[in-house]
Amino acid sequence: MELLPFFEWAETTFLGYIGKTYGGVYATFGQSLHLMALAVLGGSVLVADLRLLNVIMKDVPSEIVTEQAHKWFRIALVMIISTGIFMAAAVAQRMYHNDFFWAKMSALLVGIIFVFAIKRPLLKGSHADLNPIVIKMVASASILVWFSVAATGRWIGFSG
Amino acid sequence: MTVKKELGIQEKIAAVAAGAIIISALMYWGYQFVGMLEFLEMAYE
Repeated sequence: MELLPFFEWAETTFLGYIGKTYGGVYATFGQSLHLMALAVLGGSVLVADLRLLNVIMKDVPSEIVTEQAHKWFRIALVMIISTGIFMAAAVAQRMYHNDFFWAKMSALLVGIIFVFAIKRPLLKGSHADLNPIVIKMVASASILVWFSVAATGRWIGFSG
Repeated sequence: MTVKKELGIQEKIAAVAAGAIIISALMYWGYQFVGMLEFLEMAYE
């Protein structure tokens, strides 16, 4: 499926026009909110996964930590996707030809599927009933996949 | 006496998915790191 026409169209939309024409709007509503959301998402991922790895907050049950962190994760994810669409619309054709954009989108897709289809259903019940090695594997994979989203995302700005 | 607990189907799926992600991420970043080292070596020469 050829996606280039979609990216060309995205640049001609109202979002693409605003982002391209008004640098201030792009920087404040796009980049700064996107980075703040990334910080919240990264924070929630690290708190939950480092707790699952038994590194931090050992005195608080991991069920409570992961449940609380997931609420912020969801809010940050919605913010990241909405500001990300706005930012990408302004430079859509450049994004289409950027390898790191596709690496980030792949990592994001894997991360979302992993969290909502695998990690959440697994950690819903009591963590004491689960195999500790599996919990640690899930936490490590989660850190790695969201690190990849963040790192490839920042790399977009320094490539192509 | 130790009781060896078997993994449930959900745990098995999670373990396979997590393992696949860990291996893929390490391969991807390892590849990028090697590329960076090659670039630095070239720049140094």
